[in-house]
Amino acid sequence: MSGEKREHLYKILVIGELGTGKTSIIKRYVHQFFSQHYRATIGVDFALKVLNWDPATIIRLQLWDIAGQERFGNMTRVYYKEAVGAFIVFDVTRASTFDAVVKWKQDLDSKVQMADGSPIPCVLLANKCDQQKEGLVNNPPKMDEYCKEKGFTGWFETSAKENVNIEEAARALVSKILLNDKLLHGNDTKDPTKIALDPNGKANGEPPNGKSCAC
Amino acid sequence: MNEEELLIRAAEERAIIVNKYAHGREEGAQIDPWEDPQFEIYHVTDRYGFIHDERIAQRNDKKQIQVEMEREKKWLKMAKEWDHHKRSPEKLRRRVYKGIPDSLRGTFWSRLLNLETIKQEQKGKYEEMRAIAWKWSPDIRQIDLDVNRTYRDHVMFRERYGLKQQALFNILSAYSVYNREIGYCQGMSQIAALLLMYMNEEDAFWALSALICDKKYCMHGFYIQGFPKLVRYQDHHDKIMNKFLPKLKKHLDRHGVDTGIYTLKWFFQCYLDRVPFRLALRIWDAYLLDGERVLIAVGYNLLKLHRQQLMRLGMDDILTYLQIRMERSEMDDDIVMESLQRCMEELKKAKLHYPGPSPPDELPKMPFGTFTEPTFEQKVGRRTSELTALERVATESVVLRRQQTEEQLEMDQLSPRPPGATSNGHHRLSHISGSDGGNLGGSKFSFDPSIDDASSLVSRRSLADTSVTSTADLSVFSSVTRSHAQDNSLDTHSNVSDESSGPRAITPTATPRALTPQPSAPSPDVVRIYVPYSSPSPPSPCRQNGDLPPRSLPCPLTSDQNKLIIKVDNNSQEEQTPIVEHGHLVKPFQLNSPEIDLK
Repeated sequence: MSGEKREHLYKILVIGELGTGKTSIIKRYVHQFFSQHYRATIGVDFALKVLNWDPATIIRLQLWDIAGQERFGNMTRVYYKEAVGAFIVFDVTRASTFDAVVKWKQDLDSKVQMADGSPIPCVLLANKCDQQKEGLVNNPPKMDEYCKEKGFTGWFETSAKENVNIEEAARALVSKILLNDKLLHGNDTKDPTKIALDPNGKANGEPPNGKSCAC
Repeated sequence: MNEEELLIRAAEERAIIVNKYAHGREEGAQIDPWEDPQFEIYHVTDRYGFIHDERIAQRNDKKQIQVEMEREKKWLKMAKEWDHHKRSPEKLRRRVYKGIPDSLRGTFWSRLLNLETIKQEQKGKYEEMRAIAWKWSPDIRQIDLDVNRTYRDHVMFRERYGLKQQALFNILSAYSVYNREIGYCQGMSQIAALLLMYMNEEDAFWALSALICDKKYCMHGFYIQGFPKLVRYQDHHDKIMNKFLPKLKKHLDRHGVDTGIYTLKWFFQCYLDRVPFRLALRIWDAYLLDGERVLIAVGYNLLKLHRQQLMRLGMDDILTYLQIRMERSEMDDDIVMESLQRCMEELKKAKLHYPGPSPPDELPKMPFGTFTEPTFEQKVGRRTSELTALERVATESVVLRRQQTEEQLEMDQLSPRPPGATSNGHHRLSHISGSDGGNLGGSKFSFDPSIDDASSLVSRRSLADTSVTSTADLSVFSSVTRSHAQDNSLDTHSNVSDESSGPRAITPTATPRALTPQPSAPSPDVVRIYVPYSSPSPPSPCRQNGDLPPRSLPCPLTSDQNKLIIKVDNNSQEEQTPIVEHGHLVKPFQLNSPEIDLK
């Protein structure tokens, strides 16, 4: 028999400096697999992850893997439109990739906003945490402070290679997006293609705290 | 960090990287175990040098190798008469499109690129540039990161800091100071690596240089800031799509698959990584002979060959298809290349074969090989926050194209947007029904008019000519299939499963949709006919004189009446293009007898 399910379609951006492991994170998350020979992303790549969030909710995450090289920015930023969440990735072994995080965040916030004008949820990923760390990432309380100050939903130390914290980070981002949906629900009737959320439906929107792993 | 510290950090990083490549593997470089090629790999390496996860059970390319060995003699003869063949290249062209024998690829690629002449003119320049790069190139870090992930599944590039990785690093570094307008742009490493599979280090450098600045290829305009040539080529690709594959173009537009998403890698790498490697080599043979117009024609050819698959897919699956499945396609390379030549003819007739020579903004402005000290920003690799004027123009052009497409779609009231077409994260109510796709009553026809059918196998007219199917039936088919085109459901059953309960409102939001890609879904051929032999229950009301309620199906016939005759219009000479199903080639539908009797 037919049951009723709510299905959400979310566009998520994965951005950050060249070679920080964006593609590896996506492949690990979507295919549960890590390979040493992923190729550089030229332009934009795309992957889909379907989540059975709860018995009544299916979430389709469209993950947009954006090339990290600066000169691709003018082409790839066109595709920021309509994103509802983002990961910014840096490489813990290279402090310069962390320096660039704030530029990526500013860039993101200037290109895409929520319906009410606020920035879209963004989780910071400190990737390659299986290797030797360099810089601020060695000081978790400082990182928490940094994230609060820069408007990140939270941060996670991740390793696509060792499969550390990828699921957790995604869960945090999706929870935040669902929460935003719920909050925005009231003034979201302009678009006839949108069907309002069932107000009784559980959005499972536990606000995620910026928490780091003990990796 | 202050400026001085940043400069020191950047200089140290560069020195460390350069040092690693200079010393190579032997100096105790730290590498992962997988980066050390073991003897075992020689069992799992294919004829082009790619390492596979499992041992290759049997070499199925023996025949191909034999054909190439036969051809080698002819090619060696051509090499001797090269000047003649270059002047009147008809025979050369014919043979190039059949594929240069792999053992002679390096030789002929070098000749097509005039490497001997260039090298003589530029004696000593490569070494000079390489030495400057090691000291100064601000692109060293990016190049290092990309060398580390360029064709690591190829035997030549597996070994970290191995000989070919050193060569790749050197070429890209040297080029980054040789042509400061480009420096290093992602996409170049795959091309340089491909060249290194067939040439030595210096030859590959000049080959890369020829591809970038020779007016036959002019890749300079792709790689410089703002990508002006990319924008121009994407516009041209759109023109071709609108003219020759309008339905596919609409379909892609409706699903938000912008030209900018899928053609960037096609043009930047001349199809490397987006088609099977052996096919990419064939495309490169043609590219090196005929130049930039091949890029345009291959794009059209691929979409034409795969259009039937693409027409059936929604956004997620279209992108997966273009990114991954096309690279695994098992379509015969010869057929693709023959089709490519026809596409080039077709485009030529329509005067769309060539987007024109590069305008000044795509051409190099600075002389090559003159060293200027990088700026502070370049040295420390800091991002500039402002776009250059050229970048802004390019971005605006892409945004504008996107807007125009969206406006066009909105105007097109006949085609409402299907669910999932946009990616704005809106919610949909979806009825997930487990009962869809059960046993169906009645014969079911699926005739998909939404495919650009310049070469459909069976024309609409020929269906009308069938002896059993009445005109009334035909109208039924088209209404059913029109809703297919709207919801793009992979499940062809869903629209017709509840016919007995009367016409169902088919709206984009209420349409069930395949939740996961269904590679095993029934492949809707151009004409699909289900003829059930048992009467389903409850029996639907029988038609009289072809008078049917809208969108219901022909009612089941008793078994002795269960006979269909299909006439196939063999006169249509349009069908030259082979059809692909799930990456496998399906032979063109040809019949000796023009009638099939289905009993």
